[in-house]
Amino acid sequence: MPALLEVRDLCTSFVTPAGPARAVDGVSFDVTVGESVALVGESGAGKSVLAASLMRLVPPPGRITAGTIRFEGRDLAALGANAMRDLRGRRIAMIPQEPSTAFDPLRRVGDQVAEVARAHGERSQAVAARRSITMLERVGLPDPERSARRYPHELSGGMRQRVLIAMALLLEPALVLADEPTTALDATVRAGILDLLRRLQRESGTALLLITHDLAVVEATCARALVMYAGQIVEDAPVVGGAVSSAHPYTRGLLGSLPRLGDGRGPFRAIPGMAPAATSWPSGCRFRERCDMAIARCTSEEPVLLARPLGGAARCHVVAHGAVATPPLGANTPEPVR
Amino acid sequence: MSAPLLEAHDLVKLFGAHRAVDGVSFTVAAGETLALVGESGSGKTTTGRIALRLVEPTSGQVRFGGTDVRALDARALRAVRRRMQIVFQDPADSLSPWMRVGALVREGIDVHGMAEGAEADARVRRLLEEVGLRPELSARYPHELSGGQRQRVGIARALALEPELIVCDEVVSALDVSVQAQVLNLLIELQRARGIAYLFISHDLAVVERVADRVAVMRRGRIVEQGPATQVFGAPAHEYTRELMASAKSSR
Repeated sequence: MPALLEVRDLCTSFVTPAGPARAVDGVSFDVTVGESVALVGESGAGKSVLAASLMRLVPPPGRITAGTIRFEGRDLAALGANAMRDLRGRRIAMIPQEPSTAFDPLRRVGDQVAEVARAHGERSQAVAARRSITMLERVGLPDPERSARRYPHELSGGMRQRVLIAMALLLEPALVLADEPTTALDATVRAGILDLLRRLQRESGTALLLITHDLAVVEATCARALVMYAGQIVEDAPVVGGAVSSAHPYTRGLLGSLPRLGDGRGPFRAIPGMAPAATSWPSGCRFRERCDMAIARCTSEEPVLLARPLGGAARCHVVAHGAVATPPLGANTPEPVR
Repeated sequence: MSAPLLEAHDLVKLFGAHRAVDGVSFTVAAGETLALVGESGSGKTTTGRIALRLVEPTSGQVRFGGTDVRALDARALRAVRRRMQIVFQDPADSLSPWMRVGALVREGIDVHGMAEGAEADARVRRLLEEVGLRPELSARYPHELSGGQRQRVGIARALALEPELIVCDEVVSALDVSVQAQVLNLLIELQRARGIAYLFISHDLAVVERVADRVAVMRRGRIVEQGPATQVFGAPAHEYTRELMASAKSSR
């Protein structure tokens, strides 16, 4: 499959009172046509800034300072504002996090979906309305004709999220960015939304970049996980048999911190310490201070993202030297590092 | 068997015509964790507030250490309040923004006259250490801390009063997964070291499984299933519990 999105050496910085914050600091990755990729990270890792950079929606005083974002043959990092506006929604769309704030509260949801088509050149109001209703049906709104006439507050959180998915997929974009699309929802609703995303993504051949802090959502939805830590991608991990196959000590620590039903009672294998701040990334490996595998080289030399023999890539000197016994692909619960 | 530490009997709370809590009964023994699990709107948070008498129930009884909490006058209630504390979901909302960490932890010690002067200072230092905060953080304001650090301050504040019960209301829901694991480990360790009982309110079954001795599953104001954690998770009897477990497994 050809690459749909090629990000190279992307840097996005913010000016802060404490100095420049390199929130995204040299990120490179590809997404191929129709692929489902997760962008995983905790608060401050840079995943949301990276997503905003891809959409060219970085809020000032943040800006892209280096790198390229090649998408369908064009560099989005250098594209003019008008060309970017035309692309957004039509070729590259976003499903926002918060279903309660993403709507105009005074307009019916059907009209808000139709507006997406109108904004991208659909002249006929009737055609736009028809497309809106068809799409609302596809995302599973009961009685779509009637639901279309409702106002956002008359729908449940799960239904509003379905409408946002309808808006994102209406124009059949090649890439959809979903930013924590299920975080605000109850578990029983969340499962349905993830099922819907998976199904629509497969049916339409749209590539999905799912931005989330939740590895379990990744395992249920994506084929690959890009794990961010301290502004960098530290691991590109395949999801095999519904489990993230990880080698990097940070990813493994995250997996050890993840509560999973069936694990029984008792403490977690938690990662010690705190993530560093974007104004003062540590030298060498940015994870070394929290890593119990760290060696002298981790302080003196910054590791690069190196491909692993069985797939994926990790930014870790210890993994690169084979000192970590990586679990076989498909192993259900990766052996914890600690 | 000794009398339970906390006993709630047939609690009902009406908000207008809405039965937010609808005939809820449970007990918490000293040193154990009872989890109240449910989705938003299940009534679990209101139930926790009633247990502390932060919310008055429409009807029903709450006994703490054998005394009827609802019958207490203000003075007696204050004495009981020291023995049962609450830690909230969002530490940012529950900590006064203009107070430094040290003062926040010390507040309860002063209010309840538990220690004075140098002894109170020493207690604050020990408490910060116990929850994994460096002593120099005591001069910081809440907004200068991370979410995980703020939650540790909330826990230190509760511990300062040497409570026998802490109501933990979605205490890790707002935290990143690695921080969540650290805070849960801290709660587990504190219970082991101090024998505190927890009424642990959460929507997250996988988190609950890690900490709970017993589980009560709430739905629309009622407890639909209650029992030892191993039994509820191992062989859920109620259809709704099975549904919750299935969705926790498929989306988590």
